[in-house]
Amino acid sequence: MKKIMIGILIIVCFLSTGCYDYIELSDRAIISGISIDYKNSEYEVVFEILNPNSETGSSDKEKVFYAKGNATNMTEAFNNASLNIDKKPYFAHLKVLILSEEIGKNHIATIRDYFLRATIFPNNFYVVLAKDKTAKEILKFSIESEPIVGETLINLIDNNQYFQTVAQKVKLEDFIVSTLDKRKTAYLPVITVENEKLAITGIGIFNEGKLKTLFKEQEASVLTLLQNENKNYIMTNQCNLDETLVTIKEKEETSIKKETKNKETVNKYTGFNITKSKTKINVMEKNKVKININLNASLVQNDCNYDLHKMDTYEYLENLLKQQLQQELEAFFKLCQENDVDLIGFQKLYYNKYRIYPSDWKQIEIEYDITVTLSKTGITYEVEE
Amino acid sequence: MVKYMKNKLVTDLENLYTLNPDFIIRELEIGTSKIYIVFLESVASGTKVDGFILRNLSRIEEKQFNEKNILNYISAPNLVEIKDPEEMDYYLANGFTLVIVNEMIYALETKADLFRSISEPTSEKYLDGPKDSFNENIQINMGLIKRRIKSSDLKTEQMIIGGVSKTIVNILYMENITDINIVKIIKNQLEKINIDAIYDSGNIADFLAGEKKTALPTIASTERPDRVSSSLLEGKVIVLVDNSPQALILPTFFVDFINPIGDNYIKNNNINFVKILRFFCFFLTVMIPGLYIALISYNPEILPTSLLINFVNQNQNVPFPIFVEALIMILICEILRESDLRFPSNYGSAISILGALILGEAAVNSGIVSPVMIIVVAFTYITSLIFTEIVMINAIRHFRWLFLISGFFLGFYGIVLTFIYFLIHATNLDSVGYPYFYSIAPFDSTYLKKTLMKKPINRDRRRSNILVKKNVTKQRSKI
Repeated sequence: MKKIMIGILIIVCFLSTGCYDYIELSDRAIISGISIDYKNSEYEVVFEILNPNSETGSSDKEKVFYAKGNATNMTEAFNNASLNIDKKPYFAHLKVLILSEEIGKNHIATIRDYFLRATIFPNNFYVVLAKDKTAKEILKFSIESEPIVGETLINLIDNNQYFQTVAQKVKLEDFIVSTLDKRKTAYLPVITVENEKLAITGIGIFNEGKLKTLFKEQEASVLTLLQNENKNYIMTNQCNLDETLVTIKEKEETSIKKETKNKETVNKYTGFNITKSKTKINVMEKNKVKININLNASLVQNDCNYDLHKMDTYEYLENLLKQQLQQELEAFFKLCQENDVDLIGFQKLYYNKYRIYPSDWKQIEIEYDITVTLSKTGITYEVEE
Repeated sequence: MVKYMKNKLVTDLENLYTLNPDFIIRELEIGTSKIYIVFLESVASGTKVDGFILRNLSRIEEKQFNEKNILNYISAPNLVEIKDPEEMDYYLANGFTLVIVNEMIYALETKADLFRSISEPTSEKYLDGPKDSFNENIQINMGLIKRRIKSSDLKTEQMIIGGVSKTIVNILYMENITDINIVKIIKNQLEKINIDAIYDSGNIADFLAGEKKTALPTIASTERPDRVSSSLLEGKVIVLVDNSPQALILPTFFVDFINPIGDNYIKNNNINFVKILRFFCFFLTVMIPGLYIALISYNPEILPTSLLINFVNQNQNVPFPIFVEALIMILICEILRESDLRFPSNYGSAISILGALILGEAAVNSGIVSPVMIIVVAFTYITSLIFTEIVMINAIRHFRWLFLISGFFLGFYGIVLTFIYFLIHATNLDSVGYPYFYSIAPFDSTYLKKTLMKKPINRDRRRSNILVKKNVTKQRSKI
């Protein structure tokens, strides 16, 4: 009896495994990137496949190879592409999906539908938008130092935060969710080729499932600042443009006065690195939103020769930063309102508080409360020319 | 001249020991009485017979001699008067010399020293701690223990097992500490044994544990007297078997096998890292081949892409499925290990060189296995070398095969199933009635901090509750 029970248990173990998916490692084609274009009323799908033979020392072998499929619909296009590979396509290591501008403008719904339904894809890869070039060109932009575009793109987005965070990685899943939500605005990092290298040039803003507009680096960076995702934000300020500066400086020694009045200083700049920022957005009353930003900044460039031994200078510089940031924010929101894209999600915030959506979010008045703390340690030394 | 009738007892013995060339009878005539000195040359020491008996008897003057006061003339540390002639056989075989005068039989211990001297432990070598080990003489072994425990509370229950071998088996325990039930259980089990001969404590262990029940060892055997003594003071029972250098410790739990006694002589904060590593390594060495196969064949998405590409690249040149590859490698390693173990050590190095050459270089070049597989198998065997107990290594091998097969057929699901089976199986076991996974399940922090972890010695004040019910405190120092 005991033996029968054990036998039944073992059989149950085998029956409850679900799909048996044993595949030898060498029978898999590992796909790291996919690009989708739409040309002449046909979808063009290209797979970037990692070449395992390339590791065996000889550098002349390509690290990746490609498989292309064309068809009037997504299913056939993917099928045609996989017919070009002698192994089973394996999407679990898929890093990036590149969409062309045309796809972004008119075919997001198809992409969304296909990727949600097909079970072969993982759900943790990222989506980017190609600009000026087709998606295929971006995917095939494999240079010797960065042979695998799928990995290069992810590293590019991951590491663009050393000086100024422009874009964040957007997973397909999150992108699909945001495009489906009418009150939310979806965005994707935009990739193009600059100086023979892949580069991020901002973000593409989607509204109601369609590519609406492209934001440049500066606006994209403000967005990440407002989302608390900005690791580093830089601000520069041209010297001698502000009158208050002159008044402060005039009280001081004549040598500085002379310098500040010099016309050459117009091309000189003050640079700030914002090392830490915290943003809170509160809906105050029916038509008012308060944006609370706390910044820690440090001075990284002092062409204007501010006297850093004086406390007044810091107050002045903090004020300067505050004003400049407010201007940048105002410009950003103006752009948002012009394009009718609610990137910050005012409508959601409003709904969370009042349980109704605002009739017109563009009418909401924005109040800024910016606190800047300039870090003082280690910057008081003077560089003599 | 009147010829004396030969003593009847002596003729009986002569008839019993025909065709035993080592059977020796000496006759001495002192006055009118005849004294027979009987011993077995092979087990008795000639010098002792000479010194204790012959020399003394030869000095006796005839006038003074009286058959009744013979004991005044012969002396030995251990002297027994035998009432039942049937017992003569047993004493002779044990190296005693019989002195027969008329109807009186005296047995004097004149055992020959048929054992090697105390040497260093061979299978349980540690850098720290005492360096003596048990040998084949049960009296010396008892002595090594009693050197460490100088207390009359150390009790010994002696039994004789084996119809022909008549092996002495001693059950040692501390009367004031040990739960007497364990002793009773062991005694009952041993009394049931009816066998021709016992050659080693391993035979006794098989009887006590039941060989068929499991691959995991439930009784530890040790050649270290310090381990035996500390086990005794933790309330465990020791079984010593004559002619065996291995003492049995009962009960023994899973955690005892992966934490050797040598740990107790090292600073606790240094050894605790090693102890955690060792516990971790147990699961590593059991699971790695199975885990690797499951990972590669079913869930390669877990690996980083660049590593996966490397793996694919290496596996391309191998014509076999990965399971066959693992099978080949593990079998080769098992064969190497076994041959290294059995072959005289002088040849051992030749085998290792051959093995290293075949495994390291040729197998990869000829495309039989991939380099990764060699790393995996090598890592498996290196992690298994952490465990000093050979019985544990054998058990690890058993479960390693289970994990390998289930990993190949069912992937991670199979690994999890086998792990659950392992846990159920191991927690279901017992060592003389005590749960095998004791100190983990059922949880007991006192015992856990003696084995799986090590407390500083000044805080190790109590014996564990599951083993000891009385006299729990073992340290009262105020440091």
